[in-house]
Parts: sequence; structure tokens; C-alpha cells
Amino acid sequence: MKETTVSDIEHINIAILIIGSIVSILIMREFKYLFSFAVASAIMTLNFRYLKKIIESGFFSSKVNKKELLIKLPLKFLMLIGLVAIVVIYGDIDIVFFMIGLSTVFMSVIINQIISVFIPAAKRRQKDGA
Amino acid sequence: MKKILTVMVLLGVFVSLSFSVAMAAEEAKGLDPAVKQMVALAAGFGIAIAAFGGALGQGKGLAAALEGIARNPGAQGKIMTPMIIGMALIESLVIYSLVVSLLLFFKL
Repeated sequence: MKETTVSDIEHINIAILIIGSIVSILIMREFKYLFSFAVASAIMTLNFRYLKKIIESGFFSSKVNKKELLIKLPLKFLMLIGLVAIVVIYGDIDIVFFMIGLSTVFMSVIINQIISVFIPAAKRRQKDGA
Repeated sequence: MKKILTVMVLLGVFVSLSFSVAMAAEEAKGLDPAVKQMVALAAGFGIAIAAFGGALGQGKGLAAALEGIARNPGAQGKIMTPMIIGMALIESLVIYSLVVSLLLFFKL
């Protein structure tokens, strides 16, 4: 099985954001649904990206800066909560599409696992000449 | 550890109760005050339980991952990926609960 990398999931996140936005506007034909999905999906994509960056720089770089980690990680979480709260309270959103948008990371993990299960087998078959 | 857990649970309960009391003090708009009070209780308890579970899960996951890396620094790359994915998934579950609580509190 192909090894999963975080950047693979990030790419799938962005793909889901774009495809999901297009599909939601095509199906519902109203800006409200596109806005709900796109904002939620973008929030989760950015959250994943920053989480990766902060953890990589905080724990695994050669120069570990504890102060930076202690500030950045809670700040990221507060920003995430603030953004979600502002969108939910003041925004004109459809909650179903918003929830689907929030599930972007779940979907990309599942898609990534499906890809990693199926693609190496095809590659192996190509190498064997079957 | 048990003391900290007990304090956290009690804190969650108090916050939920204070949330409901503050909510009950407000004027009811459309809904029956008793219903409004229950909604506020549900919102408070919902986010308290989600935050408690999420924090516990993230703490356990991070502690286990760091322990693994400390024992075998060579496996750092392999441990980091599932750890980041796990943390993101746990966080998004807590965000679901936050959204539901906010909806209950502000839109109902």
C-alpha cells in the first residue's frame, strides 16, 4: 500500500473545495449554498494546513521554539472558532452544506485511502506486464 | 490526573448551568421559556462534552506520538502523518458540536 503523506491530503482537500463548490452551485443554483460549502471547506483546509505547519515547525525542526508553539497552536484554534462562530451567527448559511464543507478533511482521508489501496495494484500490474 | 479530570468535568457542568441560567434570564423570543432553558442547557452540555472528549483524545494521541518519537526518533516521519490527521479529525468533530451549539443558541 502506498504511504499516505499529509500533502496528498492537502491536495485532495483543495480538489474537494473546488469540485464541491462547482457541484453545489450547479445543483442548487443559489449563492447561499455555494457560500456555505466553500467557506466551511476553506476553513477546514486552512486549519489542516496550519496545523501541519505548526506541528512540523514546533516539534520536528532542528531548532524547536517552544514559545512560538505555545502561542501559535492556541491562536490557530481561537481563530478557527472565531471564524466558525462569525460565519454561523452572522452569515446567511445553509447548515447542511456547511456541515458537508466541514467534513472536507474526513472525505479527503477516505479518498486518499481508497486511492492508496487501488493505485499501487494497478501500477504493479503494469510493471508485471499483465 | 483523576483530580484534574474531576475538576474539568465539574467546570464543564458549572459552565453549562451558568449558560442556561443566563439564557433563562433573557426574555424569551417566540419560544416557551422552559423550552428556551432546555435549549440553552443542551447547547452548553453539548459543547462541554465535545470539548472534554476532544481534549482528552488529542492529549492522548499527542502524548503517545511524542513517546513513540522519543523512543524511536527514526520513525518520526511515519508517526507524524497519522498524528496530524488524527488531530485534525478530532478538531473537526469538536467544531461540529460548536456549530450545533451556536445554532441552538443563536438561531432557535
